[in-house]
Amino acid sequence: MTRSEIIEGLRDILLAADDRNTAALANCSEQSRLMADLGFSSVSMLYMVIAIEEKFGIRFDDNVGAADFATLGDVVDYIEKKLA
Amino acid sequence: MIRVRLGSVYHYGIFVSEDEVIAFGLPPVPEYQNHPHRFVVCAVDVDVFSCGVIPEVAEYDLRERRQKFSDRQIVANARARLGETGYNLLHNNCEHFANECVFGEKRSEQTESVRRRWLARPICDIYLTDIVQPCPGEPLYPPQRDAEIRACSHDGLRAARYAAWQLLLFAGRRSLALDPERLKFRKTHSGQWTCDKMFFSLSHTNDVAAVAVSNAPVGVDLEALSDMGRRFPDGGVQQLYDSWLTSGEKQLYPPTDMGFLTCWTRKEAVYKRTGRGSFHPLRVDTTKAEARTFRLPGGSERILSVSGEHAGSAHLFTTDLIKTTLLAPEEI
Repeated sequence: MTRSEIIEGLRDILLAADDRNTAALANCSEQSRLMADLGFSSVSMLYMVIAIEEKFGIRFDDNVGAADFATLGDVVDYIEKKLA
Repeated sequence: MIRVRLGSVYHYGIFVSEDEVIAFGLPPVPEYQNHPHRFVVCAVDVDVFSCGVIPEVAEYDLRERRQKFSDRQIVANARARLGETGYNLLHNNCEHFANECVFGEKRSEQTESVRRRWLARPICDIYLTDIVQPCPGEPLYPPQRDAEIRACSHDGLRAARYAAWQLLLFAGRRSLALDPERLKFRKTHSGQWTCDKMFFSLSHTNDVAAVAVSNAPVGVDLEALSDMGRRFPDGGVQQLYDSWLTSGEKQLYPPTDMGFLTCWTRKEAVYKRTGRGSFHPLRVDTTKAEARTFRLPGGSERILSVSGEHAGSAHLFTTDLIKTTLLAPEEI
C-alpha cells in the first residue's frame, strides 16, 4: 500500500469520525496537526486508532498513546511501518 | 471498582482505601503525559487517581454480582499485578485491567462501543470520474453487465455506462472493502441492477459518471446545467418547471434553471433510491425526502443530488481510479 493510499484511507476514517469537518479534511496534509488543525479530541483519537486497526488490519503496539501522534504524517508513518 | 470521567473518557481503578487505588497507568491528564511510569500498574492515593473529580463507584447487576470475585480476591488480583506493563490503549487499558481484577475477564466497553460505532458507521460515498472515449476494452464484472454494455450501439452511452460500472466496482472496493468478483449482481424485473453486499446508484452526464455506494438504500442523480439550456431552449425549462413540479415543490424551488434542476435531480435521486414502478415526476414529491444537493466545482456547472438514509453523511470524491480526491462542494 502506497503512502498516498494510506492517507486516503486515513481521510475516510477522519471523515467518519467527524463528518462536519469536510472542508478541513479536504485541505489537510501530512503536516496537519490532529488537535490544533483538525479539532481532534481524546474520543476522536480513540475512534481513529480503532478504525485504523479495522481498516488497515494492523494492531497498535503496547504503550502507544495519543501523545505519539501530533500530526497526520506521524499516523501515516506508523501505519506504513506496521504494513511494511 | 471506581472510575472518574476525565474529559470525555473514563479512567478505571480498583479502590482499596483512600491511600490505595490500583490502576493501570496514571490518569490520562496532561500533567502525567510524560511521566516515566504512566503505563504501569501502580497504586496511587484517591486524590491522584481522581484528579479532583468525584469518582463513581461501580454498581453491579445481579449477573455481575454472581460473576465477580469477592472483594478480598479483587484486591489480591490487583496487588498481584503491581508493576505490570504492556499497556495498550485498545487491547489492554485501565478498563480491561479493572474488569479483569473484578470479573477475571478482560473487557473494555469504551473501546468496544467505539469499535461498534466504526463498524456500523453510515456510509454514503459518491464518486465522480471523467468518461473516457472511446470506451476501453478491459472486461467488467459481472459478464452479463459487461455484455449488456458492449451491446449498446451508441458510442457515448456505451462509454458512459462502461465508466459508471467501472467506477462502481472501484467504489465498492474503496469504500466498503468489497472484492468485485465476490459480489453477486442481479437484475430486477424492472431492469434495475442490485448487489448483495452494497446499495448503489449510478448516473452520468455526457462527460462525467457518478456513483453512490452506501450501506443503506441510496439514489444519486447528476445533471449539467449547460445541457438544460441546450436541450430545452426558449423557455423550455420554465415549461418543465410548471408541468412537473408539485405545488409544494414550487414553494420550495425558484422558477429558474437552477431551481428546476435542483428539484429534478432530487426527484430522480429519490426515485432511484425507492426503485419502485416507473418514474413519474409528479408522483415523486421531494419536499419531505431525505436528499441533499451539491453544486460541483469545475468548468461546466453540474448539480448532483443524493437521497438516502445516510445522505447526511455523504462525501464526494473525484477519481481517475488511481488517485482519489475529497471534494468540499457547495451545498444547495
